[in-house]
Amino acid sequence: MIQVEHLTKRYGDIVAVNDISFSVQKGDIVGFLGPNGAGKTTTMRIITGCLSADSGRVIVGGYDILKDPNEAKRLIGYLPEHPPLYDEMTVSSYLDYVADLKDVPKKRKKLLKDMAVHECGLEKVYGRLIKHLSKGYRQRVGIAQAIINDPEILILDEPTIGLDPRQVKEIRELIKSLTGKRTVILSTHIIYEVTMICQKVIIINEGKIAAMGSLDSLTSEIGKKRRLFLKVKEKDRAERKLKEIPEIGSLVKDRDYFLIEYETDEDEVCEKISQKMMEAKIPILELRPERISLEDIFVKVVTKDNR
Amino acid sequence: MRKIWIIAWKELRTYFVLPSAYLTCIVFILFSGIFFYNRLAIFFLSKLQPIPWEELEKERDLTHMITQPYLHSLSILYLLIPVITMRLFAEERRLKTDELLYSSPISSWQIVLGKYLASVILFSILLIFTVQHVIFLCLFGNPDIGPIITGYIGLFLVGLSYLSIGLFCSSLTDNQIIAAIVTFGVICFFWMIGLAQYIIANPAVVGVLKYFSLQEHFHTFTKGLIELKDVVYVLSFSFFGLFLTYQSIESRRWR
Repeated sequence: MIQVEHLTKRYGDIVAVNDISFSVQKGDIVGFLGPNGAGKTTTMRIITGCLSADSGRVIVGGYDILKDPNEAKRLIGYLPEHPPLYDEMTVSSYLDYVADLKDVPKKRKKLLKDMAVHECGLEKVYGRLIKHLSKGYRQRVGIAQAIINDPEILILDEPTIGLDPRQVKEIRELIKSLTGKRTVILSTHIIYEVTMICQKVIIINEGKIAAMGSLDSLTSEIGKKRRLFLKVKEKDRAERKLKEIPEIGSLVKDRDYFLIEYETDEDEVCEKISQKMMEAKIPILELRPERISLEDIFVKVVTKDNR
Repeated sequence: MRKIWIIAWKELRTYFVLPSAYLTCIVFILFSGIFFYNRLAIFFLSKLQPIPWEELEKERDLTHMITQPYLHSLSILYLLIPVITMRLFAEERRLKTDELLYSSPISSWQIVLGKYLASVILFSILLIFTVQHVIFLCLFGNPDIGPIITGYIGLFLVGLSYLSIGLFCSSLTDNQIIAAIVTFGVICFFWMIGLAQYIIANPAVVGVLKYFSLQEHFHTFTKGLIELKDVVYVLSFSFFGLFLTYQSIESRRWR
């Protein structure tokens, strides 16, 4: 559905996007993850045709964004980082305006507008001026604007930034409900958001793709080594005992807990640890497996690149 | 064409939602009224004094005493053009709403022409307000209609040029005030360079300067003449302004 080939964009001496290539299949929900300033927004602006790349090309639904911009743009709904709202317009007239801009046929306009208003929960503010809306509602209008032409592709740039926790939750649920059969690219620097909404992840750092793949494959790939979290009372004695267990690969001692890395079966290791502790009469306060999360992968990938 | 109209209609509505368009109208109508009253008063006063020379008597008709100077004074409308054009692109850029336009299936030319059309329509509305004075004159006297019509055509065409400058200045910055001040400066420049004829002796230089001054071209129109060279100059000036605006918009997407 979306093909990005060798995209490069410079701002003066700074390379914002450096030879990025990836493709998104129809129906995929892709999380675009990266620290601030990694090139997420630039890439999205190029895909939507707001910005031209220095080299490389973007093909959206079979149309080159530079050669057939109008055909490609009709397939896309885009929510920029700052929702493009006109303060002096009402929600209703604003949506009419966007629908006209996006070539929504007259016959479908009313239906699509009603749908967008309904899906984004805008019934209450329908006739209000946009400048009087709260930040959460502004974001909703921004999303309604992006889906008004019922696009096959939805591109959302940091849709939950700057909202309060309740609004963040609402907007996330709204986005989840909108995905449906659409192809979605969602950029964020909040990892939880990706694990909640997306199936595929592209981690981008300093203008380059640092890691890419489905959520499961990424976590299992880097998460081969497994860890246990152990909290006990008498640490020094416990450490000596733990070292007697051959299955334990490495042992990290922190202020009041151990992180135990191992490579064999989880249950077996747990059993042995508790047996040893019982023998030594050291009470176990907490023992649990630590799953390696996307967060660890992210930090790993991003810091590795920096070195 | 439909796209151009969509943009223009949105801009027009914005003009009349914000107070600026109303204020512009009020200021302009007030001043045009004062100017008209002035010309009228001078005309009546001069009629009270008998002038012995036949030659001068010929100059004391409605055309020379009222309509021509009145049309000239209407060019203060050009000083309001910065107010009309300043927000068209600058505000979109400041609020980052331009991303909506760029990601929509609409070309840069359509955006530029749409915004230009909106400013031209507002400008025409302001001009139409002054027609009331002419109608008043026609009801109570019989002025020569020809120079009035050509004068209005001149006002309109020169206005097109200034509007295209204003649009270009607005596309350069994200600050309305800067856009307005730069527009004002450029308008004054093209208004005043004709005046250089009084301080420069070299006739060749004066000829060039007079040709570039939009006010000089406007002057021909008020005399009741529509000359091809004036129309060509004024229209090519507008096209050039629009072309620069288009380039400025496009270049921002490549930067």
